[in-house]
Amino acid sequence: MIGSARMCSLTQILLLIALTVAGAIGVTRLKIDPDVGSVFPQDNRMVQLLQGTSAGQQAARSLFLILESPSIEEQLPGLVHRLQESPLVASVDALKAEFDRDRTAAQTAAPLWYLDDQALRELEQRLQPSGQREGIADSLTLLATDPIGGKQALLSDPLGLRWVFSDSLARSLPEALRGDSPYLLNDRRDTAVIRVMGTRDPFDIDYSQALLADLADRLQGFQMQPVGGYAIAQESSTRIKGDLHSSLSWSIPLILLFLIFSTRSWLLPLLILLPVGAAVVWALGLGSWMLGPVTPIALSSAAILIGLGADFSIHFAGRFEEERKKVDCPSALKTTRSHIGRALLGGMLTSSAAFLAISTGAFPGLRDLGFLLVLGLFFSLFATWVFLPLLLQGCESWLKPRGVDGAGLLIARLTDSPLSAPMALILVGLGGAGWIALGSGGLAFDASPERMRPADSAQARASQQLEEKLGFAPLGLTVVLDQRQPIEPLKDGIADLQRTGVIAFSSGAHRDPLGKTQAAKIEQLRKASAGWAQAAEENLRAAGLGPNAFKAGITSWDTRLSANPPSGQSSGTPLFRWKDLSYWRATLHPHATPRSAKERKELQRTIRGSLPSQVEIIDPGGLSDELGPLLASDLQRSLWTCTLAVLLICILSLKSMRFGLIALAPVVCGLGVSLGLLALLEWPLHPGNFLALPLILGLGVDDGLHMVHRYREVGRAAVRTTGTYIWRTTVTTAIGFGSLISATSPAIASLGLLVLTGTVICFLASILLVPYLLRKMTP
Amino acid sequence: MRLALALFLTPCLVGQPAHEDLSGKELLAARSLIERTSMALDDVRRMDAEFVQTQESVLLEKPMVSGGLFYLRAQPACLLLKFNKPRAVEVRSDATSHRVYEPTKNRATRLVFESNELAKALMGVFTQEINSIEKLFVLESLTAGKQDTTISLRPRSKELSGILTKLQLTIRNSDALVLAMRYTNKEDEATHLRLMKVVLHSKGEKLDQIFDAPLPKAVRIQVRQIKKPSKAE
Repeated sequence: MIGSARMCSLTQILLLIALTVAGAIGVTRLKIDPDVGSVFPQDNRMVQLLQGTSAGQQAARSLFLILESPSIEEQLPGLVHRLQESPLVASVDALKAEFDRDRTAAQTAAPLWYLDDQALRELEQRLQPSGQREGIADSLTLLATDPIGGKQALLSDPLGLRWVFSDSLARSLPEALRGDSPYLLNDRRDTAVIRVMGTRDPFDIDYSQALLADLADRLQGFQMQPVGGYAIAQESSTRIKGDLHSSLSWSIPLILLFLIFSTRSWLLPLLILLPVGAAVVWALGLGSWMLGPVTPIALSSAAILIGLGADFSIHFAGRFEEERKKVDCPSALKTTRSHIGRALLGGMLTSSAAFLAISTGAFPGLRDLGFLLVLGLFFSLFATWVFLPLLLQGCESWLKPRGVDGAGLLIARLTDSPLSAPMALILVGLGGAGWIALGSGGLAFDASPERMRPADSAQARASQQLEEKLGFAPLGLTVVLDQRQPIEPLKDGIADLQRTGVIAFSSGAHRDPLGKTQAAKIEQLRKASAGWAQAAEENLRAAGLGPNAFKAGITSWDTRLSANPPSGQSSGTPLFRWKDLSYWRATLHPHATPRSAKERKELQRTIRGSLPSQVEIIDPGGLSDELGPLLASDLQRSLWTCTLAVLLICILSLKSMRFGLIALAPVVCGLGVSLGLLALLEWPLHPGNFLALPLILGLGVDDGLHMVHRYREVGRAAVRTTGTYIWRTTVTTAIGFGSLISATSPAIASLGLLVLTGTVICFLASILLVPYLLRKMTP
Repeated sequence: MRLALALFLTPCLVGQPAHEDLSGKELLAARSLIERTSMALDDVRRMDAEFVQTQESVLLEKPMVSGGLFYLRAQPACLLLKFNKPRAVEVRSDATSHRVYEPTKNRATRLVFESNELAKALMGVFTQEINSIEKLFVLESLTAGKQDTTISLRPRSKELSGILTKLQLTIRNSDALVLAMRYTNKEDEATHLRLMKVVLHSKGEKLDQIFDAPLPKAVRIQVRQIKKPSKAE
């Protein structure tokens, strides 16, 4: 008998070692997929449009640098060259023309077609004999005065035509990009703005940090303010790390101290935490084998698992201690298993059902999260069932039996006091009020990234500063229209938006002057200047210049002036091809970037009101607004599915409809108060805090199940024993998550507040409401 | 014996400087004159002068003459030529850029170099840096006159030869100032710059900031980047 028990223990130890080794290897191979895009449903139309137009990527990878130096203009060429040499940089835009690349490229292909009326008049005048002579005289002056560039300018452009084109291009740029410098400078010429495009997305924090460090290194001696995704990523990463560091630095010692004080043992807290730690390693390790790279959201499962997994160990160890006072160690373990097995399994199954419901949604990031949580919960239970008994058995001689727990006595006294009934009813009232507030006010789901950072962050201020300098939002909205639709209504609509001040400027297909009117003007110019090349040769000869040397230059200009856009193409700006259709594409830049979902919605509504109804608006900053409702409906559907599953599992676990419903009282109150608080304060649920919900759900159901199971076993005495274990799980979770309330990231702070509120209410409901209901509803 | 021969020849073939065209007394005289020039410019912060420039070109039947005011800053080296003939043009050159501003046309062209080798070489002639001119040029010949002496130089490096093939400096004997410079490009086009009414400003003097004054507002600017020619080029 003893031999077979030893054999069994050996098998268990070998199994645990094998699992831990596999998990540890898996954890070392664990890769985080920093691309937040992978979290989104890839079949979503807006996600596809953002990817198809590259608008999302371009917005994410644009980093604007505000540079300050007294002689910045003179130093810019060298700086740009230094930045271009960086292997981390895809391109650098410093010249104004580079900020509107599409148009510049189209203009290079058929330059004449992009000239405005003033330029067409100047060109016609410059191609006439008198204009030619003037141009040649200017070029000769350059030859006489500039030994470095004069000859080259004379040979390539003896008539000085290049100025007509560059002036026209300058006039086509927005107001802020005009002025007397080819660079983007302020009036005092001591501040410049340049755009650096990165080679990877800013979600890759390592890359973002390396890029910013490299740029700072290359721009030593300059005051530099980076604005954009990379800077936001770095700022957020630093802030979140700081938040977690400051919170963990005191919450972990405090949790350990509490457990030591509460269990009155140095060893027991470690024995409780070891199986949880092992379960997290196994889950993440095996998860990485099975899922491949995981998203940062999925990785947050580790925190939830620690919160929920510790419950299993705390209940198991507590009950074992109780039994150990009566019988020997193997018998105590056997009794513990037989008595709380059902409650542990019920708790694990209900939480798993909730997480499975989340993982069946449309969001791949949530699927991974749900899968890891289910796996982790299974391992937590397995570790509590197999690993913890081995530890308890092995350390049995050091675990001395203790007297009655002070906290348990206090809890029992509170439950027995005359105040318990009114307090239980107050809890019911609070929970009910919470659900009513939720039902009447509704709960907003806001997935916008601004929710994740403080409103007055350095990046928010820098972004505002940049927009003030430019006079417009540098990352605009893209609008696309099926090419089979006429472009004129789009042109008129955009012109209206600009006239009414909704947008500061725009770029794209609607600005291509390729219509019949422009064609007629060009035709007229070409007629009026026919034979200009021969005339130029004669004028050069008359100026004492041998025309042969100028043949190449004149031919090159003749080719450029004769160039037309590709036949059949009515736009020089490349069309956007998507799902076998071609689309006109334009980018609209408002005066300032909308800072909230409400402002974005308002801007889109105004834009939509002026543009043809078939236009699609692609706002890289508004993807969260588009996906927020989808995520909210996913969560709502999950909530219903998991409510049903939790109810069924509770009933099956307790083999009674009545007891099953009573066991749900803590979670109903906990979630009701937490969600009601959100609704009352008009705080939205967002990706940073919604993880609180599964956590409260898991803890609340656990609390209720354990209390009901024990109450049915020992009656009112359950409050003193199981109440103590629930107290321990509540305090550890409340310290762990409550410490986040002081975080500077609003998302993390609201997560802390929600979990703290939910767990405290669940605890109070477990020791006050559940016993009250059990007393009232059971014979 | 073989070893001795090898030891003798190795520095001759590898370590010795390139063959100097000038030798003996003439070489010493040229070096002495350059040393005097360098000493004369030792404390100079800025050189102002009037100038006349004659530009020859294969494109032209006869050379073009221009002129105006010459300003040269020693540190950081910068040359500003304010032409008033044939019409107002300002040419500003430093180690990495070259700007031609035409005030009457309200426009400017800026060439941005990885390294403006020509400007660096030519500006060095008018500063104390002239004492290291032999790092860039070989002293080719010396023509001593009563009033002034002309030294002809040839670039040492292939890189510089691609920009100018010959440089001639005319130095006044009395005060060792460089009064004229003539350089020829690889197409044998010569640029001749003659200075008059030279004024030297010492380092202690308070001077107007003429070199870094921004261009007036509303000037249209074209910018071109000039890459350093690769070794293959």
